[in-house]
Amino acid sequence: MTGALLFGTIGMVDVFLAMAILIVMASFVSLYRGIEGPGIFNRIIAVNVIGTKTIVLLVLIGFIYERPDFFDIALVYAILNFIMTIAATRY
Amino acid sequence: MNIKHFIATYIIVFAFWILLSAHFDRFHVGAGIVCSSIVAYASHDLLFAGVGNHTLTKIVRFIAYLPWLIYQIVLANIDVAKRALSPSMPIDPQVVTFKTILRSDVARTALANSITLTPGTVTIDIVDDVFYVHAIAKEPADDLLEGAMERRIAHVFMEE
Amino acid sequence: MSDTTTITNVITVVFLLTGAFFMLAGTIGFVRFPDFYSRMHATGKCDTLGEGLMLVALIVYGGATFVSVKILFLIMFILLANPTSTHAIAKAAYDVGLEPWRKLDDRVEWMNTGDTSDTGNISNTGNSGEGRADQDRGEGR
Repeated sequence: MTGALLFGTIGMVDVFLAMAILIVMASFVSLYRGIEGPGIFNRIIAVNVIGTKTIVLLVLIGFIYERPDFFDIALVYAILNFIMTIAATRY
Repeated sequence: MNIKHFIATYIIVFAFWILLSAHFDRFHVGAGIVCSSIVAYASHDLLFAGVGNHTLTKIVRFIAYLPWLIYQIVLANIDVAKRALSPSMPIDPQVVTFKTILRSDVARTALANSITLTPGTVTIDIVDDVFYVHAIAKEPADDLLEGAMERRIAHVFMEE
Repeated sequence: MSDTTTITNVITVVFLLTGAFFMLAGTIGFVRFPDFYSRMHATGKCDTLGEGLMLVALIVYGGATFVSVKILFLIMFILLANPTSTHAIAKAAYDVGLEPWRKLDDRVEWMNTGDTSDTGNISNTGNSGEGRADQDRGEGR
């Protein structure tokens, strides 16, 4: 499972872990917009962006811990995120 | 109740269940059969509501349209990344409007989503047949008003 | 450790890095751009392609299994839903009357007026510079 030929002792799981940390950092940067505003619409897109990043994060976690349950959670989270955005913009 | 539509919906829903559950023991397949029956009974008239004579041609043409769309998405991302990362931030936002020649709702939805995904433009609103598009600079707006994408969509949905 | 595994891993890493780059660029644009509609460009495009690329990388890594089918459904759903939600937010903001930011002659003026009006800029429906937004809203709904 490790890309030892190319990456020395770094396995693919470590790459996934680095990507997950990167996504979490990007989410925190987006959270700045969510807190600072200005206005409600910037906060709505901030929540939407963080939600879509969370989908990829869930899939990555599923690969890191090799637990297929996380993909179902990611699918449901995608649908919920979409419905949440539509509902928030309707009202 | 159209029995042909019911059976077709049932098969699609059950195939979807099998793909998503990936368990083949007696309990999961049985639950799938029961759930697919309920869902197919409730929504057998939804899935094939808009199916006409040319639906298959439209689907084939839409799949042929996808590679161009993906190429445009990559261009759009490089464009936005360049604008976001350059220190001077070369943006000049403006709202442009144009009338579309497309008539069906599906074609308009496809055009709106394609505009959103292609370089420098986001669809804001559609009132009757007028599109309100927010462009991030002048060049993408000019490219859009030239109408190449609209002609492609019109070709896909056979409305030219 | 065969050759195919190495090639698969290299493709996976390349796609992952490209996706992460686009996602980071989108996030930076999301924070840096001066107004709401420009931020919409950054989020609507970069997030879609960034996530698409990362999920494609994971499909390449996972191979032909049921998990890959699930991720494929996820990609299709994201490609459909992300522009739609972007469009929904933009339409809601436009209906409320949020003015698109225009390039001014001096940036200093924008800095002074834009940052201090915290929630004020979503309520200025009356004094629209172009006027078209208010006229069309009346008959449109």
